Amino acid sequence: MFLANYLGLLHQSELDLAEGYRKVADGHASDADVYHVCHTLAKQCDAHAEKLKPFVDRYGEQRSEEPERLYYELFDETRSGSFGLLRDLQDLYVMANFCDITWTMIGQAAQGARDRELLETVNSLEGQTLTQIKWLKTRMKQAAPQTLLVASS
Amino acid sequence: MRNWDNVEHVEELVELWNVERMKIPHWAPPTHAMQIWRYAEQGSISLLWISCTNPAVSLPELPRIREILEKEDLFVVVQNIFLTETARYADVVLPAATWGEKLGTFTNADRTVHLSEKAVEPPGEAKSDLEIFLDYARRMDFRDRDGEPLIKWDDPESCFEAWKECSRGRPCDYTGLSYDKLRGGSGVQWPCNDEHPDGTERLYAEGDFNTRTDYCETYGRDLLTGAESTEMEHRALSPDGRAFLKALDYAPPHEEPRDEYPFRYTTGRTVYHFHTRTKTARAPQLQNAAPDAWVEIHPSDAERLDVGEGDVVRVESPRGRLEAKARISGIKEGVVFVPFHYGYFDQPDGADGHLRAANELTITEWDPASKQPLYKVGAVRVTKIADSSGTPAPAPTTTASAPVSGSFDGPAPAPTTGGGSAEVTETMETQTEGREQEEEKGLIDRVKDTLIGREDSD
Repeated sequence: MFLANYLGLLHQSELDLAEGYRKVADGHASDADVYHVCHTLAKQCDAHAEKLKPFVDRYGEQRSEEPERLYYELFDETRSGSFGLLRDLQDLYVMANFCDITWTMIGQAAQGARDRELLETVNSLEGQTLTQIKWLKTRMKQAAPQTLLVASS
Repeated sequence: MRNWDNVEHVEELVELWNVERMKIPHWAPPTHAMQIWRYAEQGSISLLWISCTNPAVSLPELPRIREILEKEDLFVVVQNIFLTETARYADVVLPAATWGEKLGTFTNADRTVHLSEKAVEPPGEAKSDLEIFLDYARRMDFRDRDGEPLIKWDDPESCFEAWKECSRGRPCDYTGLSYDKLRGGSGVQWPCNDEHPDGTERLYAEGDFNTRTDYCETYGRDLLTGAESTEMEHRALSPDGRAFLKALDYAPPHEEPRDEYPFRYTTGRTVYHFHTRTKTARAPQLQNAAPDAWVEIHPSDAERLDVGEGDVVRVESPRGRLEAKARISGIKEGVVFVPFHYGYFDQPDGADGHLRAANELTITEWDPASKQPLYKVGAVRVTKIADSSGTPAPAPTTTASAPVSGSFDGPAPAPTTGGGSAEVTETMETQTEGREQEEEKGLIDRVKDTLIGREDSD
């Protein structure tokens, strides 16, 4: 069944998002809050992937190349400077939303399959992905005026 | 006191100040200190006006702060009562008046508002902060949306009256206060208004909190990341005066002790000093109680390092280092403590000489929700560099820095006392007409004695 595809998609997306957070953290280490929060969120995504594994095994993961293509498109190189930070956070925002909607699809399938364990996992972990998205938005909103109107590098 | 994300709250300010709404920045919470310094570091802020604080001693990672202050493209204005470590980096120094030299209110952490009277003229060209800001506003010709001067008050009391109007109906309501009331013999706790004319001793006594969506000061933030909640999210919870109890799973500090830096580093205060000692170092009783920096260390750790009371140790983190005498104390094993008060203004070499500021070592990181720098956690190594030469650490023998008995080869550290000149008797009565002038003269003389040589010291 195609649930296996979506589980594969989500598992890989979380791992790729984790890598994205780490890349942005290290690329913008001088922005101390970005560095520390992104590393924290990378660990969160790794934990998500870890918690998905039993379900991946149960349903049989169908690995998809899609999120990897997205990852390499977005995170090949982190950019530099304050404008670069804004654009990098925006790419994380895209990737995090990709994860979020994939979680929603898994949740729908879990309900249809009456898989209580999978549904509980979705409910507890999707909230964290939503908070990640909230943080990215908060941080971008905070940075935007200074970056877009004043910064020259 | 108002919610930047609440359009109605911003509209209240529009009416109070008579300015265009877009003139009031409200696209995000006010930029916090560490972010301001980051923008200065990157060059998108090119003027920094630092008033009434001393970042060259009090911010984390002081080598970085010095680098930023030294930038060619950063114009630094420092406004303070003495030439502090930060003021030495200023392009322009605005000398400010201190306590006793200006009229105005203080509000402390338990919400008590006190009125502080002016007793003497400030020395030289020093002016009160209020006068400096009013002068600036006049020269900049700030106008409201009708073309009238933006600032419509010109002295402490009229400023206070304007502030009262700003606070009307908000949680910190000052509308019931006045200079007359504050001269009545005691401070008063806000909120003080028609409902609470004598002020308020306890908040939330009825279990009613300021969480109604239209009233609250913030829609809240996530403790892990600082992510801001939206009005819709807040309203959906229908808090209706109930309190939010926020929780977070434990996560260890990002910089943990490890091989190269095996001690946990924490910084803090001693009761004898405030902040970077701009005032307290100049009060002899306080400076004598705690004249210089020290490093608190547990007896077993000290023994392993061959460190005794008063021996000089070097403490190093990835950011920087300091050297100070060791105090063997009751601190937790594996942890060292350094007070953050000690900068360089009273050292002959300045910051180029012997380093003793605790923040040379602290990390540029801050709590995501409160934006408070993480002064309390870090990892360091400690090495002995010199013997005590017969004197203990200059740490007070009272409070947490108390020495562990039997830890010193020489005579035990003398007990810390203020002595006769530190003792005070206070009587508080409301003024009666006959005594007023006599008391006032006595007060002015006593204040003059306390303000030692303002013209003489830097």
